[in-house]
Amino acid sequence: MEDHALSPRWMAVGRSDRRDAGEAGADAARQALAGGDDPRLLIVFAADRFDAPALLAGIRSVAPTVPLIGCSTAGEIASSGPGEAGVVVTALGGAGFRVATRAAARLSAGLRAGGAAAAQALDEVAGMPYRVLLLLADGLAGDQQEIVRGAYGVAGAAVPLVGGCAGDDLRMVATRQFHDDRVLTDAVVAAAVGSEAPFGIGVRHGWRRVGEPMLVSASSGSRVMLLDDRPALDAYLMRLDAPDAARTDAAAFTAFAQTHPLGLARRSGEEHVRFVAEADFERRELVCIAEVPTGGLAWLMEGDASSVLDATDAACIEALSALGGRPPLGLLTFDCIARKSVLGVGVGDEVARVASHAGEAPVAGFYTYGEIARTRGVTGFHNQTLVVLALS
Amino acid sequence: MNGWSTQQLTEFLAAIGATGSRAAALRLAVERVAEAVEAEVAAVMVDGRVAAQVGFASTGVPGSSLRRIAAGDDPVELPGLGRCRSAAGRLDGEGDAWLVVARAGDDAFNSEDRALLRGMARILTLALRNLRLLTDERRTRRTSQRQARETRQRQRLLEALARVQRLIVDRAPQQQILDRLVSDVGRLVGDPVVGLRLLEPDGTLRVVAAHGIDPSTFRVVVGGTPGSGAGGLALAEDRLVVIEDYPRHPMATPTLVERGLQAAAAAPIRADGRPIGSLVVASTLRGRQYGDTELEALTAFAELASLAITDAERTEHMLHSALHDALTGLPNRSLFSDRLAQRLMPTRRRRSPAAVLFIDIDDLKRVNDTLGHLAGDMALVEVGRRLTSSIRVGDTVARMAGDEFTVLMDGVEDEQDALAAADRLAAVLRRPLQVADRSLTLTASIGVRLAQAGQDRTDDVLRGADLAMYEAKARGGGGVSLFHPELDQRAARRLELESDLRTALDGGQFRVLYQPIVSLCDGSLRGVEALVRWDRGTLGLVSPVEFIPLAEETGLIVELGAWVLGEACRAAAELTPAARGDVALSVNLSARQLLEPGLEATVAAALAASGLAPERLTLEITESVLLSDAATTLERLEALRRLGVRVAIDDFGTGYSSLSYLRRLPLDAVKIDRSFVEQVTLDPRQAALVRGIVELCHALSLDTVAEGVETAEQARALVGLGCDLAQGYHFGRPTGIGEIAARHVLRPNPVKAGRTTGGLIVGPDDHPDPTPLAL
Repeated sequence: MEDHALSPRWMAVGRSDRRDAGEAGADAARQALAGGDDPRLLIVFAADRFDAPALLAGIRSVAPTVPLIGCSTAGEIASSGPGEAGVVVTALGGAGFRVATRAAARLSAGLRAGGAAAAQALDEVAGMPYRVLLLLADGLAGDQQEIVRGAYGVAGAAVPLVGGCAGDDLRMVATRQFHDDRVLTDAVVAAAVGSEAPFGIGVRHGWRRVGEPMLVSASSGSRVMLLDDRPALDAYLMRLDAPDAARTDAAAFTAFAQTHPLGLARRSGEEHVRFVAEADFERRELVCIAEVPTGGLAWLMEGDASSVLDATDAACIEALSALGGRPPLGLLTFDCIARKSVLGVGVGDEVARVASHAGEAPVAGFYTYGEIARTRGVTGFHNQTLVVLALS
Repeated sequence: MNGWSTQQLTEFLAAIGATGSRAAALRLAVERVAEAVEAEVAAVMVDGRVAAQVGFASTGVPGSSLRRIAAGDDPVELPGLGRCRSAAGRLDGEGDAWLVVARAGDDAFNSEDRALLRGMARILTLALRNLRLLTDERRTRRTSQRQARETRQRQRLLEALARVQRLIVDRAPQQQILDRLVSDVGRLVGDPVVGLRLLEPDGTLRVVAAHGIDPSTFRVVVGGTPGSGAGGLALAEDRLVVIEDYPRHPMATPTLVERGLQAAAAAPIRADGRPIGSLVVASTLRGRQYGDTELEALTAFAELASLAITDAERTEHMLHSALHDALTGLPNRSLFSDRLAQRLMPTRRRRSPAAVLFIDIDDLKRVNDTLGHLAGDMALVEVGRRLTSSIRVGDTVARMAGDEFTVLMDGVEDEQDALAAADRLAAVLRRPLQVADRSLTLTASIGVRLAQAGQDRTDDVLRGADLAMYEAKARGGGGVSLFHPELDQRAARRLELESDLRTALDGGQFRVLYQPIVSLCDGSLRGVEALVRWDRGTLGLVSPVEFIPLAEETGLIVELGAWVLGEACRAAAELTPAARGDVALSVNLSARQLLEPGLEATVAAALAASGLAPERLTLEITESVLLSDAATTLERLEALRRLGVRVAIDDFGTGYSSLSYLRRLPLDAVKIDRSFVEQVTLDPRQAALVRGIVELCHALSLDTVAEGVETAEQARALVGLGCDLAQGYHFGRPTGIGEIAARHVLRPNPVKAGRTTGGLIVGPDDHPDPTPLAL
């Protein structure tokens, strides 16, 4: 390792659960800034409950000029565990990092243009040996893959895209994005981070296939009519040996389906996961939250706390192994809110696992409405997945 | 194979038809093609320039690399991505224009990807032309009738293509798709005769769909061999063929001229890039000339027909291969589990039980090791064939993994009935089979478990049959065992043992005992063999026979073996000053340890930590190790010997003995198995065999150690046979190392006097010339 030849780099995380937004912001920012000199970027993950302008004002009171991006969440994550009412501030600093930020508003009117505008930030860190584009988008703005497409068109294949969709604590009304001193909604904010040392990215969902694949014999958009030429709902219930309640009761079905998504075959890597949102008991069809194309193979998937946790380990290991043996400075995690519901009260275990992989290094992240990780191919929007970014 | 291609093509068709400008169409095309074939990079290259691309920041587009892809280079190096696999599809009629893709890594584009790329290139070409016409129309604001007609025609063509495409995606019956396709071609091209013909395995062409004329007439009209007529020519030369003055054409067939044929055109239909048929249109109109639009339509529909045909085959193949074992063609584990699950669904109607047979071929490893894996595979295929031909219709045979098969039998009367069926299968499998010019006899161990619909769970039934199979195997193989609940308890104990084993090392529950190895000529102590024991405290001692295989299976043997080695080296080194200076130490090495990359380091560390001289350490390996991976084994043994330690073969004569490896391998000693020693005083032939082994070893300068010597009589016989060293209860049971040394130093007892003391033959401690230590 030639670390002695590289410029200094550091990452530190601060967290605060104080009631007052301004105090919480200042408190968390102060802790993060204690990590070192020359801060280059602040990343803010804040609970939905905060008065966002006051929160930002609090952060700005201790760090008036450091570039900042952030968003509201469906729960925040730090080394000490998951939370639902606090703010986590991450600081990156040192001459070994170069950072540029962008924000693109009115996202729903032009998702692709928004992604492309956000990715322009990369121009300012061109020339750094390793680059990554962090994206925090409004998860309620529309088809997030369009944002990824837009960003990819500018970034190209050599720069990985990583991030997640902002949340609003499952109210599903409006999420907020932060850029420097501004609170935005219907926006995407981005930070292009250039570094002298590698980044590592891990992506895992933690669902496993049940039985043999089925042909999607008929579907339309996110509605699945037939699986293996049988009514999709019947095929789904029978194959999974679903409990009786789930066969007649909509709520029981949704609860059951939350841990039994569909997996769509992919050439490489893991399946793309499709969450089954509801059952149409009349027409015997399944309604998913994203498109399920006709004519492909699909697996029924299942997961439990243990498979979700195994995925956590695998994602961390994948991210860390890309660092070429360097110890991580810290880990950023973008974790699907649905995984949180699978874990239930055991959600702390997951964060503890991430923290144990990080060792001494800090962890920060949030529960998302969708995850972004483009490392292979051109698609990079995920459901029900954990994305881990390791910095070194 | 991702299975979405036809869907993607349809969506592409719809999306590109909706774009309003050339730039938007190109951008959409590169993005969609990259997504469709899971590539990082896609570009449209026109006359060597990049017209649109995705995958590079606009400032860093590597035009020259992309040009090389268009020129057919694969793989290529791309900035930021390194080595990439690539593919290109031509945009026909657009000049030197290509749709190119590149994917990072070594995953090459397969025929399905290439078909998709070609299909998308075709659709893009049509869309671009249509856009051009629309642009012209806008510019002049006064369209000529001909242009308007062409635009309408193209629009109709795109619509027709989309309709057929939708049928493909919806998995409509292939005949319906092809019928629709030829009727659309007829409508768009306007010729009275349209036919689609495919090559049969026997080399003839079969008419699979026709329009305007019934297939039997068509066959007469167009003939049935490749190379003749427009269709035959298109197939034979794999290109678009246009014959506009048919009666004067050299290829013209008189019958057709007689019937008034004036012109014909044909496009090839391809599968996996090879021509497999043709789509033909023919006209009886004098002076018939084919316009660009018509030929485009013909080519586009031929591509679509190719897609429909390969898609049907691919789907069938994809589903089949997901559910079947590639080697034997039998159902695989997931299909078997599913059938079993279906069979076990609760029903109103009372059903007789089903039986699951779990079959494991006993000696397959031996076949693989001695005759090679190809022979092993052939044997498996034959086993599958025999099982399939021995069951009733409706029963299922599956290959679960490696040498494991399962059978699901329906309508079994009772346990006796199931056992009888299993016996029948065992007998069928025992019949000799011919593999690689050798006649082999395989045996199988079969476990049987009955299952009742509505009561038993799939997993339990399979596990039960599996456990019963292990029981059959434990009884020596070749037999049949029925599941009984005790097997579950035994499996549970094993699990418990396994979990305890994992904590036993940290819990300090292992001890190392030492068994003396003595010189047979003078009875002196020459060495000790380290043997591990597991004391589970209040639960008592666990036999090594029980826990060593478990440790092997779980991989714990590596950690345990390293601990034993360290412990034994330390004990042996500490022993030296107080006892005779040169007692050697033998430590067993398992197969698993031998394959462990860190082995040399572990051994070196144990030696360094203890200060034991390397030449005093002998590592013992069993014969079977040598068979599994001879090349690796040889390398590892040589590496170990470079450390200065010695290597011995343990239990010699029990495995698939081959004397040749004694010469090939870097060995220092051979330990003759106790089964020979037992017989040495009883069976003169065994004695002769031992003499043979000893003499061969001596010829190769290897020391010989007899194992399991229990009586003075055996010891004397071994002396007579020339054996050098021995160990066994007669010389001492495994015990603490200090105790052995003390007894040997204190209790001299020459063997030539024939006296024994306390079951121990020992030599004088003033032996004048201790030969170099054997072990």
